[in-house]
Amino acid sequence: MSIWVFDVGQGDAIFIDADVDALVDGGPTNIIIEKLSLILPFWDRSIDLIVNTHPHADHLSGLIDVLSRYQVDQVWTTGQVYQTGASDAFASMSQQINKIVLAGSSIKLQENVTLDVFWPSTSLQGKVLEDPNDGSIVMLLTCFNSRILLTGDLGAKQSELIQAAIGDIDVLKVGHHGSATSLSTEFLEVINPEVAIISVGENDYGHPSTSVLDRLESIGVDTYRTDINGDVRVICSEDGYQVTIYKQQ
Amino acid sequence: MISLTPSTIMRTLCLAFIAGVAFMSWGFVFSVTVSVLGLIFIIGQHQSLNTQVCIGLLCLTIVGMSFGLWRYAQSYPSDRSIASIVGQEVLLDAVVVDTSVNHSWQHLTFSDLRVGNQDFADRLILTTTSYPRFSYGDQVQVRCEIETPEPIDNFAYDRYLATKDIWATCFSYQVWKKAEGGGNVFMTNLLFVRSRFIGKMDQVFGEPQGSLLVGLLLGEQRFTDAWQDRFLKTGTTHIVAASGYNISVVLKIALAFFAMINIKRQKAFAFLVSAIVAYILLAGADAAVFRAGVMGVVLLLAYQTERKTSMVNILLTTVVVMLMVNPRLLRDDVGFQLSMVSTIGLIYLSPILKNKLRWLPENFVIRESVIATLAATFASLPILLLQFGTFSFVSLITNVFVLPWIPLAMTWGLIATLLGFVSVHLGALISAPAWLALSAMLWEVKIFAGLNFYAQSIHWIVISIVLVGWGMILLRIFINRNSYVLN
Repeated sequence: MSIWVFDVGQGDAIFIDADVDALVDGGPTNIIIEKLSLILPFWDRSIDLIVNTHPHADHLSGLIDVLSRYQVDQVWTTGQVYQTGASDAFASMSQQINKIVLAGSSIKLQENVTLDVFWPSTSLQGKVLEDPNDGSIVMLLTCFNSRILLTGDLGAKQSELIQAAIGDIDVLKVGHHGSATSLSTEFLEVINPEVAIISVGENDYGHPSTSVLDRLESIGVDTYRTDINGDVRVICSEDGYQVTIYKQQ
Repeated sequence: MISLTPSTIMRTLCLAFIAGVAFMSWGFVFSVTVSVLGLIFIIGQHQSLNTQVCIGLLCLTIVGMSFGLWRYAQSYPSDRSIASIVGQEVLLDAVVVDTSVNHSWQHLTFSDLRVGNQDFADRLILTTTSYPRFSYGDQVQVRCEIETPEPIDNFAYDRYLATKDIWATCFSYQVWKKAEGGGNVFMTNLLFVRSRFIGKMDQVFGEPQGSLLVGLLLGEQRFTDAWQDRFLKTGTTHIVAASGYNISVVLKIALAFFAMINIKRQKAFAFLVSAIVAYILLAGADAAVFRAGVMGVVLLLAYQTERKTSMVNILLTTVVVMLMVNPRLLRDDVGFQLSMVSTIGLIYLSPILKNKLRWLPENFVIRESVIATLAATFASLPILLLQFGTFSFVSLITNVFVLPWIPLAMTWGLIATLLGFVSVHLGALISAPAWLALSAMLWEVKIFAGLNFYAQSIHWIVISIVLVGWGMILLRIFINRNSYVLN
């Protein structure tokens, strides 16, 4: 079983390659199709689950291409309203298979592998958030004995609300591309990751921020960045987990 | 008494017309060069020359050139051009006639432009966000500031747009769809079928195989920048464009098919023309595709007649007809130029190269691939150097490796896509041979591009030396043309 954090530029696209496979966000462009085609056999034209953590384009746009090119069984969203052309297109394409999720939602991906939702704590269906990032779906992937936290673009303030429930983890997909407000020292101390992965590309926002990188370094976390390391793969089994990187020439 | 033959009259008129258009496009020096070369060509073909013939040629030249000058003058924007209100922010009503998506942006070409009560006769290109998507025939309203197109780096984008009768651009986040079905009914249905076909192909194939197939079968260019760069570096961009070359591949497949079922080439002519028409329709039937289709028919005639003299007339007529429709192509549409010279190369140089390269193996169409690539590359060398200042040293070898896969990829890709309409999973399973061929082509392009044997921003002195050498080789071929025929 493996988790791929793809290098899709400035955005997020994470693929969980399990018996029930899941794509968490699709990045800002259709490059996700090329990434999926590289790891899925050519005859496999279906994806069981798509999760859109929140409706910002750098997480959502690629999913529209995935929906039009793959047979998708189920789509998870928070139901928060965000009126853009891309968000409307995604909503209309996934209408029949959309499921609104919140903390407590869960799915078994294969034996000993589960995906549990920790945020949002209440239903966001029909709500308009001042900052859509605050409504990001946060999920913990438990893979045998390894725990991998997928945070969408959730900021430090909201993260601290769920840190106790999450507890100690092994791998952290850092929130909001490593922005200055994505990660607090307190949150890091509670979840205590060994490995951090930052999904980031060329950008004008200063992502990832040096303060976040310093914070991770100070507690001895091995940090991988998709803009430097390329696609990051975490392979997990009953013996633990292993991180490998694939940099395309 | 010696007089002008109908063939000479036609050639003189055609060349003079092209010279007239060239004069308007480039100016005096180029036009004189074209005229002098044209006259040398005609006089060279005309064994006996007397005063009467000379006066006749001169009169014909004046008539043809005047017509060329007049036609080009007609292509300037009229008083009713949207360019007349550049700088104004307006609420514009229009009909979408073309769409393309690039990264996060959507480019929409508008016609039937109207601002308030004022109608405009030309077109405009709008850039907006990639969603919501618009389609051909959508009637839209947009608020934007009308701008003049500008050259991008070394690319004369403004002049290129002018070939499509587009004299203004605008950018807006606010585009409202008011109604559908504002376009031509035939085109609406054609593009609907085409988009369904592409949609199914996309469900059956992943990436980048899907983009390669859609380029091969439908001339749709949608590769990522990284892949476009690789095609450029290996001189293989032509295989994924709706080019004259692409059409000739369709022809070769059709020829092979008819040979297989024992129908003679002559009898198959009508069927092959139908195949070209089908390709033109599938590729979206826009002007560039249509021109590529016409060049395909010209190639077909060349295979058919084997009489090189009548081919000169056919080629000249084709160029003149295309320039009559759109005189701006001559200078500003590289696609038109490349399509034209590579067709000339394929017709005239292929037989010569065939003689010289008999030692090459015929297996897997290796010999044909080498000949076709050499002929097309040699003929288009000046345009590539002058327009782009680039040259790929691995072009020949990459093409030789890539081209043989094309018939398999196209035929099997088509079969898998059609089966996809029955079941996507069935189509995907059956697609194995096409997937293999497409993957092999992409792998080869990637490997050769990685070698980086590619020169860009070539110095003008180097270009001049190469062009002189090119001219000398061409002259030698021209002088020895009779011995080649004897061979």
